[in-house]
Amino acid sequence: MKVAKVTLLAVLAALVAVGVATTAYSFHSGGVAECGGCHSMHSPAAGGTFLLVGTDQSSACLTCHEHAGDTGPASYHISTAPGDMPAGTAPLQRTPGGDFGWLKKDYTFVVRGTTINEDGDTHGHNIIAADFGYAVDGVNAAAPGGTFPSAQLACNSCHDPHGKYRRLVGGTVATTGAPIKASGSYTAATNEPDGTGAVGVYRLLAGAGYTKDGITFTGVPAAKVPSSYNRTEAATQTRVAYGVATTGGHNAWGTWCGTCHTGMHSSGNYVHPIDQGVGSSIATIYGQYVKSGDMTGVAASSFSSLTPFSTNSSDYTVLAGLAQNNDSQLGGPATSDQVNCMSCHRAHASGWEFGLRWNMEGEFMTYNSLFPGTDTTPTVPQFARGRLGAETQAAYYDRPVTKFASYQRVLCNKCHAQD
Amino acid sequence: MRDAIAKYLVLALATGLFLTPFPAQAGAEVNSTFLYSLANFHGKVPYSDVRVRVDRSRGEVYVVDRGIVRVFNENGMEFFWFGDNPELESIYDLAVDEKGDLFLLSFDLSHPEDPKYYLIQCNYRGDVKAKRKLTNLPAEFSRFFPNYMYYRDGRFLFLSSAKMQVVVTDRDGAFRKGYDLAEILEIPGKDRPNTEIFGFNLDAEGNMLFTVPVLFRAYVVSQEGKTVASFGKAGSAPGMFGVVSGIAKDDQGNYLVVERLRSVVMVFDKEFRFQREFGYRGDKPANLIRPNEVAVGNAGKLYVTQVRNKGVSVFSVTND
Ligand code: HEC
Ligand code: HEC
Ligand code: HEC
Ligand code: HEC
Ligand code: HEC
Ligand code: HEC
Repeated sequence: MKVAKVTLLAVLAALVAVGVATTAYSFHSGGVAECGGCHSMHSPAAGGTFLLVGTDQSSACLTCHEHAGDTGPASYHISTAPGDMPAGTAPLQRTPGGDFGWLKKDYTFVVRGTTINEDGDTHGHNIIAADFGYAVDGVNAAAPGGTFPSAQLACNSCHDPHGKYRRLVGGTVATTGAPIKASGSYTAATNEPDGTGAVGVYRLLAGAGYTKDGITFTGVPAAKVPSSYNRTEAATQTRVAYGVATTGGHNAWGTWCGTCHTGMHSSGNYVHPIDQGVGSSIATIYGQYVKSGDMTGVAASSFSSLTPFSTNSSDYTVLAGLAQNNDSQLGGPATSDQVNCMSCHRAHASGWEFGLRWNMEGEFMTYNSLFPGTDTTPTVPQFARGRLGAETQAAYYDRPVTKFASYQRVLCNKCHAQD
Repeated sequence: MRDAIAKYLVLALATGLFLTPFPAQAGAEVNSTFLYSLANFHGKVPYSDVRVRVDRSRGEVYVVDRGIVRVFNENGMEFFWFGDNPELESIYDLAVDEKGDLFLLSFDLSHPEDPKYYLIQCNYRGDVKAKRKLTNLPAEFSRFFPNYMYYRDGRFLFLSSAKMQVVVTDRDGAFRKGYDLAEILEIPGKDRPNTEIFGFNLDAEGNMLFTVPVLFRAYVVSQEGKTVASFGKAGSAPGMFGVVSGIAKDDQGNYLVVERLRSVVMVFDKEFRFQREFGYRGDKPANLIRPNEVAVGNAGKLYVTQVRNKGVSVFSVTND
């Protein structure tokens, strides 16, 4: 008994020493976090699996990643609690992946006598998180173009909860090797591997060999993001620098999404070109296009986070240089830079159908120099789509309406200029 | 100075570590009993994640949910509500002064690029008497945007939980004092965006109590801006911190800390020794589902918010 106590004390003392020496302020820090943050060895949920403490995997994540009482974008939150987004207001988070709260935003409106319901389910990936009111998608039984069952869609379908994938010195991604010292998502020098350790892969995304419900990922996509990424784009844009890396445990963005949406990507299917260079004419258009009817732009300031692209580079320091949130890097694509799924979709959810970055459901994104809304443009319910003007603006991450033409057409035109 | 604080913290930590996982040896036993859920004539109000404020001098309980305030009596029955008047903006939080006047923290988010907040004074029926903005904010608080509000001794305290900033004003909303809690805890600049407060409260002496889940720790910071204590250890055994949120100190000197992951309220005595915990995830009345905030009422009552429409559960927590 006495011995046990002494040993315990010694262990505790050791813990104290370690704890104080390396106080971890971040939770995952690019790798596996404190087990107790997600598992309980002592009182798991009744019927819960893997001793996870939420009722399901995604609820465990949202225990931290959603917090009631938010008033605006809040660091790593990717979901807004229902009480913080009552009817007539938009979800609050403005991350590149998007706020899952949009999935709870159903809009009903009447166009020429016909009532139209825009179900929140259509706004993106319906992760299942019972504690937080997220349920399985009501429309798609499986991933369109693939087999992944919607009933299994969780945060850990796409993210490795244990963050085992790491980028080693030399650039290779592996699940073992040097310990993970920090997140690899951000742009500081400390977010790159060196002699002291590896870094986590971009956003702890699933890498080669990660298997879930019949699908297996073949590599992680490369990207860098500014460390302050959950922010309004009212004044300046948040640029994620997506890259193109296909070796050493990497794969391109389209291939990564295509793991579950095989048919949306495999060649021969009728889908938009993906993971291919934009070519010179589209690069030129992107550079010149400002808004509908205005082709006076210059390439060096033409980037739009509503139509991002992959920079044709696997060099993370190049990507880090481009990933800014102060509008210092707004260069448009070079001919070899690529269009990818993220050029049109957000990874989690958005204010629009199919998780798109802009509204494709009507010809105009703005109307009479206003963001369409039941309050702002009551005569054109087909453009307002049951939202208030402020909700429409929020879906564009709070950009001022002057960033668009008075009658702005869909942003396919950023690359195709058919307007 | 830094070293001294660090040493002090180490000591506190060591004591905490040694003692927390074990029930106290001596002292009064803490009991907890589930009493009821806040209700109206339709039965339990199926609240999820709401803000509860107790007016202890009048024994009334205010619940703020999506801009609507419902008022409950000491027995947990609703007797009044307000909030549908557009003049009140979007109500987020509420405080009551000695005279029974209500003060609302309300937002105007109709221009997403330029969100605004107001301090709105009302009578007990929610009729607006005055609508103010915070004034004289110094430069370092110029972008301050609070999401919690408290009243004590003629002063308002506003908290921005994400920025870990506190602003104290007089009754008219004029700035008196500000705290940068992240600085007080010496959180390095690069980690600030990811370090935030999940639970906050004031104790009877006016100390600020709060939890920082990613540090797996609860803190007590005095009005002078000094960390007077901190406790908690990461883990999943009883008394340990998974994802901690709500915190309060009751009349018997116990610290009550919510642990979201295990769905419990943990009780620590005034020396931060773990006493017991209650709740646990489940559907029975006395169970909790991902609890979040706690508010202390009269006669040992404790109000606990949670999700899944399980409502606000009221417990009695007593030392005997
Ligand atoms: C960020 C949340 C999180 C953290 C932190 C975490 N886990 Fe997990 N863990 C999960 C999830 C989610 C699953 C379920 C995976 C699934 O459904 O396939 C899981 C599953 C497991 C499993 C069983 C299946 C497997 O993948 O091997 C083990 C064992 C495990 N975790 C151990 C640990 C240990 C040990 C730690 C601490 C070093 C830890 N976990 C930290 C979220 C987490
Ligand atoms: C205990 C609280 C907590 C829990 C539980 C939690 N997270 Fe996190 N998460 C954080 C914090 C804090 C950050 C930001 C700091 C960091 O990256 O460590 C973060 C960041 C992240 C990031 C970005 C990391 C990067 O390096 O770019 C991802 C992705 C993520 N979390 C996914 C998850 C998933 C998936 C789960 C559930 C399996 C989960 N988290 C559970 C607190 C948590
Ligand atoms: C369909 C795959 C997928 C699912 C499901 C998913 N994520 Fe993500 N997540 C991503 C991708 C891809 C990114 C990177 C987005 C970017 O940079 O454009 C990301 C980014 C993030 C980030 C960084 C902030 C942001 O939004 O850019 C966090 C935090 C995160 N995810 C947490 C979660 C949590 C928690 C869940 C479950 C509630 C979840 N993710 C579900 C694919 C997914
Ligand atoms: C782990 C498997 C998985 C991965 C990886 C994945 N998805 Fe999905 N996706 C699904 C499932 C399942 C559905 C159907 C359920 C739903 O719509 O919520 C879906 C639906 C969609 C939809 C339709 C949404 C709607 O509401 O109609 C889009 C668009 C989409 N995915 C795009 C992407 C993009 C872009 C990526 C890469 C960032 C991606 N997916 C990666 C599984 C996946
Ligand atoms: C050029 C823009 C663009 C790109 C790039 C793009 N999509 Fe889409 N996607 C759309 C549009 C627009 C829709 C809406 C349906 C439609 O009009 O076909 C859509 C619909 C979808 C759907 C829903 C289909 C359904 O039947 O419900 C999925 C899934 C999807 N996309 C996945 C992907 C994936 C995966 C990639 C990358 C491999 C990708 N998309 C790239 C524009 C794009
Ligand atoms: C980020 C730039 C970008 C955006 C945004 C974009 N496209 Fe494209 N699109 C391309 C590129 C690159 C090609 C291939 C160019 C080529 O082969 O000439 C292409 C080709 C096409 C083609 C010809 C397909 C084929 O097989 O040759 C169509 C049709 C098309 N896009 C429609 C759309 C629509 C509709 C949207 C909006 C939903 C859209 N694009 C948005 C870059 C873009």
